[in-house]
Formats: sequence, structure tokens, C-alpha cells
Amino acid sequence: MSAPPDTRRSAGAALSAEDVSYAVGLARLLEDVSLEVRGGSLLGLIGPNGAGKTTLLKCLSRLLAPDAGQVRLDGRDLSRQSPQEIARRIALLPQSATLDFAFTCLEVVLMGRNPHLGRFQAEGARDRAIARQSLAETGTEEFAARVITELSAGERQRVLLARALTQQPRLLLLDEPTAGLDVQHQLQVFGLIRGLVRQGLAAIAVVHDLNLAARYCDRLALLHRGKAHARGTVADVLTPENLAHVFNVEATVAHDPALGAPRVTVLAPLDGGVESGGGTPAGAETPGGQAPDR
Amino acid sequence: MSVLRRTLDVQAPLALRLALALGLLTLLLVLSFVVTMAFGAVDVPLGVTASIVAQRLGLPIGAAASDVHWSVISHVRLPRALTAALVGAALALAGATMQGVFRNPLADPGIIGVSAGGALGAVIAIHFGLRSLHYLATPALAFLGALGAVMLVYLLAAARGVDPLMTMILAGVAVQAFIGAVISAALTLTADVNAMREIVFWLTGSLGARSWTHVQLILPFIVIGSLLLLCFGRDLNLMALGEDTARSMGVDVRRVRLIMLTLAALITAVAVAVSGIIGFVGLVVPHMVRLVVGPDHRLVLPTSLLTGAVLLTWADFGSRLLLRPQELRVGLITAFFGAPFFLYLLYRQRRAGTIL
Repeated sequence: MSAPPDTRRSAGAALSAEDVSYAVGLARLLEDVSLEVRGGSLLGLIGPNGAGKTTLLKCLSRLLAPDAGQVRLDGRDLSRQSPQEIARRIALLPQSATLDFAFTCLEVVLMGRNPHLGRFQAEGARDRAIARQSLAETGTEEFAARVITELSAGERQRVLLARALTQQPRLLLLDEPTAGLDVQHQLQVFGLIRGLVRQGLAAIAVVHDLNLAARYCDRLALLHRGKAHARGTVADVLTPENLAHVFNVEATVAHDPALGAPRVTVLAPLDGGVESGGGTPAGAETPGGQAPDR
Repeated sequence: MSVLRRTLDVQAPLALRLALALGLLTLLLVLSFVVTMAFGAVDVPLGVTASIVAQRLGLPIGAAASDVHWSVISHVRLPRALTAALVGAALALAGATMQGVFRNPLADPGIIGVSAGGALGAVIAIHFGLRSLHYLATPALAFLGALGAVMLVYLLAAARGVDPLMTMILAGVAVQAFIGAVISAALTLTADVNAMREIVFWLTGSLGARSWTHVQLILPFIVIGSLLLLCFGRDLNLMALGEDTARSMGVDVRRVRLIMLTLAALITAVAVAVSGIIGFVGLVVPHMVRLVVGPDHRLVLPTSLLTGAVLLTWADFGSRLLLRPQELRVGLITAFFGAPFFLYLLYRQRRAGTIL
């Protein structure tokens, strides 16, 4: 018997973006955004709709070429590397992966090997072993032979995460990985991502839910109209002032001893806008009417 | 049968599944060739047919055949069967490519206006009597028309940036409708009854009286175009996960799309040029193939190609024999059997819960 194929993942890489700008016509979607993430760390990108989170993620993965600024992975400028080279080190899980053909989950996960294969090279034993390992890591082994279009949203998202892991990336980019999932699956997917980061992977995730961001991310970058309004630890970024400025809501932030993380409670939308942060909201209509209950 | 199923199973290595599927289909194609060529206005014994084909292809095996048999097979039926196989292969491969690139199960080679453009070229050749100048005038103009329509659709799609794929489908629909109107006008204005008959005939595709010249004309285009297309199976698989995902895995999606659509348009244009419009092969064959080999395009593309060749060989056989000695148009045969079969596939897949 030959030795089992080597399926180990290499350690996380350090990504740094400096003054990244991106515009479409006159719309400046990103302006001088800088950020960095290292192996073993999860950076959350938060911000309101249209703040530029997805655009930033695409610039970081080189799906979009920034108009100005640089993105470096382990010090090497991404703009000087081929898409295939980048794909061997950065994996992206886009927000809505549509699936049109009845591929089995194993077939989908094996596709992650593409950046490592030559044009006419089929997947070998090692590629299969890596795919199997990714399925195991995401708890989706039982779905290997199932057709992916038949899975539930939560199951499918875990399989797609396994596909990204099969690229053996050193940096994982996730665009709202729990969008459309119920509470249980949200926690499951973030738990998985957290586990991968603990093993040394670097990860950047666009997170819509501020409390999920507070609970699972090591650091946060708060985007506002294409600019990084705040960057730093969760406690530094999630302040009532920042939330008022960027999201235009009145919110409180308290430490939740059960989670060991800050908890954001949004009380009401602010009418006046930026300057009135912290003031009494007009027509205090609390979302759900029961904001302070947990 | 169970060995076959296990080998074709998704879990088996790709090379094994590919070798088995291609081996079986090649055997089927060769058998179909010999059997369909043996029958016609003059029936030729199977063994004699096989040895004439072998000798014609340069293999000195089998006994010498009578002059009648030799000329019927060598000069009439073999070039016709080769044309049928090449056209069927091109249409089916182009259909599988279009369905993969557009990620739309209803796409077929006609969707971006290739067939309509070819028809327009042919109608011009017939209407203005160019075919009497040279017998290849009709295929030549059909080819130019097919390429012209595709270029028009490209330009329309490129002008609007948002979703080029959807724009291409819509532009294809518009171009087809426009060309349809022009053809109707030509039919109305043509006083020459023979030309009118010829136009109507051309619109339902035929492989009658195809010579070695036709084979030589289309062979290099279809062989080279097909071989190039077969190189992009894995890219097509990745593109099924969406443009962003495919690009993040290193696929240059826009370039692959452009190359594949150009090649598919080219082989369709060549096929349309010599056969007229033969429907349903490009639409139905990839669906049939996926039922057996699954969705992996590295298998779907080559097996579609061979299945299309086999299918059109038999469709042409039917067109020659069903109403013997009268000949039916092969486009009628493919539509007559293809449409109900496609409905059956839809019904089956609906019940199975997946569209593809």
C-alpha cells in the first residue's frame, strides 16, 4: 500500500489592501480602503446595503481590478499574478451560487481542484482525498453522492464551503455565508469557519448580522459609502456612535456574558441623520417591539 | 448491464467512463454506417457494404464488389452518410455547448441566430438564381449568412453591458424574427415556383445528393472546431457554479464563453450550409446524453458529438426508406421524432424533480 495522499493545508496567508479604490462611471464604489488580515484571524466586513462590501471582496479576490491601490498576499502584488495562481491561494464563496446542472456534491467539491490541475489533467487520487477531507471537515460526507440541487440551503452552503476548502486556499473570502439560512445553520456555518480559522486559515467575511459579526469575528471593518469608516477590534468598531453614523439607527452595545462578546441592540431608526447620533429618536418605534428582551 | 452501470457511475474515474462511453458509441456509429448504407433503392449485402467502405477508406480487406454496388456505396451513400454523421455531430456538440454556456436547457444551436442567418443566405442564393452559376453558391451564402447573423447578435449583445448572455438570447430571438419576415417576403415575391419549392425545402433540411465535395468542404471545419470545443469541458463545469465562482477558481469566463460560442457558431454554420435547417438534434441529444452520463461536460461534450452522428445517420436512413422510393426531408424526421421525445424527457425530468 502506498502512503495516504498528502492532504494537509498550508498555513494562512497575510493579505493587505492599501488605498483600494474602484469606480463604475461616476459612481465611486470604493475610495481608499485599506485593511489587513493574517492567518488565524477572521475579519468581518460590515456596513449598510450599498456600502461597497461585496465590491471590496471582489477587489480582494481580483475578480475586479481596483482603479487605484494595491492588494498584496504575503507581500506579493496580486495584479502581477495569473487568475490560476491567485486561485491556488485565495478561495471565494460568493453570495448566490446558482446551480443549473445536476452535479453530485462530490463532483462540485472536486471542481475546487481546478486551479491545481493542467488543462487536460483529470483529478487524481490525491485530489479525491482532498475533496473527501473537505467534505468531512464541513460535515457533508453523507451528501457526497447526492445531487446538490436536492439539498437544503444550509446543507448546500456547507458543500459549497467544502468546494472552497478543496482549493486548499490560504485565504478564504466569504460573501454573506449565512444569508438565507435559519438560526441553527447560521451558527453551524460560522462555527465551521471559526474552526478553520483556529487551524490557521485567514478569512474575510461580509457579515450582515451585526451580532454574528460581533460573536465570530476577530476584527471588523465598517464600510460607509465606499470608505472604511472604522477598523479595529469588535469593541472599537461596534460603538453606538459608529452605528448611528453609518446605519442611521439608535443602538446600544452591551457585553453579553453568555456569549463573551458584545451584543448590539438596535432601538430605532434615526430620522435626522448623522449629527443626531445618540439623541432621542422621533416616533420611537422599536423593531419587533421587544428589543431589550435578550 | 450492471457492470456498465457501475462503470458509467459518477464515482468511477473519469477516464474509464469516457473510454467506455466513447468506445460503445464509436462501435455503434460504425455499425449504423454499414447497416444504413446497405439499404436503399438498391439493396447491397451487409458484408459487401462493409468491405467497400473499408476499401474506400484505404483498408484492403474483403472481396471485390460489383460495379453497381461499388458506385452506389462509394459515390452516393458513403458521402451522404458521412455528411449526415458530420452534420449530426456538429449540431449535437453545438447544442451541448450552447446549453452549457447559456446555462439554459432550452438553448440549441439556433438560439443565437445561426440557422436563421443560414436560411437567409440560402434564400438569397435561390431567389437570385445564384445556384445556377455554381452548385456551391447556396452552401457558401448560407455559411456567410449564418456567420453574419451571429456577428450581428454579438454586436447587439456587446453594446449593452449588463447581462450579455440574456441580451444574446433576446437579440437572437429578434434576429430570427426579422429574418423570418424577410424569408416570408422572398417567398411571396418569388414568381418562380421551383425556387419557392426549393426555399421551403431548404428550410426543412435535407442530406440528399451530398457528394464528396460537400464532405471535403465541411470535414476540416467540423473536426477542428469540435476538437477545440472538447478542450473546454471542465471550464463549462465550473461555469455551472456561476460566473464569480468560476472566475475565483481561475477560469477566464468571458474569454471561454467567447471562444466556445464562436466555435459552436462556426460548426453550426458549416453544418447548416450543406444540410439546411435540421431541428431538434442540438436540443435533444445533450438531454439524452446527460440522462446516461450525468452532467459532467468532459463527458457530455464528446458523447453528444458521437450520439448526434449516430442519430442523424439513422434519421437520414428513415428519410430515405420510410416512403421509399419517395424521399422525406430529414428535418421532418428529426422534428417528428425529436419533439415528442423532448416532451417525454421533460415529463420524466419533472417527475424526477430536476430540470437537467
